Amino acid sequence: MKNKKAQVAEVTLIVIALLVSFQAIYSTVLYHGESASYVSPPKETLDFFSNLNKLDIFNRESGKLAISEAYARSIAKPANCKIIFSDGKPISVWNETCGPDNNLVKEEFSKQLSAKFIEISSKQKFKISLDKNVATFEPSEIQGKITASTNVLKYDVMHQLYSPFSLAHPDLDIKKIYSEYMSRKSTCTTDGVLSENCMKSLEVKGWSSSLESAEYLVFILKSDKSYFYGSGFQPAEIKFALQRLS
Amino acid sequence: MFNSSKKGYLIGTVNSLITASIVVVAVLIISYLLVVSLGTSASEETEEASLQGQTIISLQAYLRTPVMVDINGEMQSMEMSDLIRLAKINANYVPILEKGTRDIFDTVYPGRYKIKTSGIFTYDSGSLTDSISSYKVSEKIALPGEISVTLSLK
Repeated sequence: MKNKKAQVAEVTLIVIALLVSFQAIYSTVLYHGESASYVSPPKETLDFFSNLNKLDIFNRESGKLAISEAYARSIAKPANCKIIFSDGKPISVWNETCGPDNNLVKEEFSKQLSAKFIEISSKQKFKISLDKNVATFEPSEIQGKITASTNVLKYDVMHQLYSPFSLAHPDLDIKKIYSEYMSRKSTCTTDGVLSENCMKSLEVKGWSSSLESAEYLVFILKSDKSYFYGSGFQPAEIKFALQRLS
Repeated sequence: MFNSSKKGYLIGTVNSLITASIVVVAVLIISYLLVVSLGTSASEETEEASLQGQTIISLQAYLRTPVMVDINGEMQSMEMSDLIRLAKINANYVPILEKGTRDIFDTVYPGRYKIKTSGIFTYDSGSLTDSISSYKVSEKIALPGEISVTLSLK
């Protein structure tokens, strides 16, 4: 009788010990599963978002480069005025009635920006709009999807593949430069002759100028700031001519 | 001293107690090993995931860090990513890029980072402190114009 009682007590002790131990193991495993899925999302999710970040960086850098190229090219484009050639390159002749048109410069900039952005980033999934020296890149592409799973559930993540971003672009107001030159031209013209020395002394903020003299005074304005375009990092240029004799 | 039936009873009890003790100790050892191994792997996974996110964010912040660079006597403001591009075009700017990069990362990850910009420069801060550098995570970001920047952290 005593023997049986003792055996029951021993078995009960063992069962309790086993239950406690298994409960501890179960809790540990469960906690590990929960903590791993909570703190550390599945690798595919991490990789997905990590790749999105990388894409965002690449797109923004492409946008910066495209702005640089588009700016240098659009302001260098001769205005729709009389054209002369210097070293085989077309230069527009500015006068009181013909000069650069800011709207056309902006239009050209916009066209160049879209083309350059597509070329650099190899993507056509952005709509680019311009407003007050800021270019906004809006993704037109739909969403990306990723299927991931944790220990307890399987889920789909829908996410916009590309994020919108905005970048400042240089001032496109070439008319301002035109106005300064036209104003100086009227004060530097005596008896119908434009004085080269008088024109040389004109300083335009943000630009340095050099002058080639002949029948026309050809001005080459170089921006103080440099830009990435062509294959280098160099100042943007505006070339135009003024007629010596009016 | 004991009669035979009492002796049998005692031997049975002792055997049962020894068996029970062995089972309990074995279960406790297994539990301990499981807790240690699972706990360690969870913390390693967490650390690695956190480090991976940190690497991308650090690279992003690094590329956008503004820097003043002397361009033909004119101080020009640009971002680190522009300086990388500039150093690729003109090798004269590589020392400026390298110094600027080390100034940034030495402050944040002293002795535990390696940075590589494709074909421009590589710097391993870990090589100064360890004979063998083992980096836990490494992230590479591509920039337009076949430029890439890789940051490794430990």
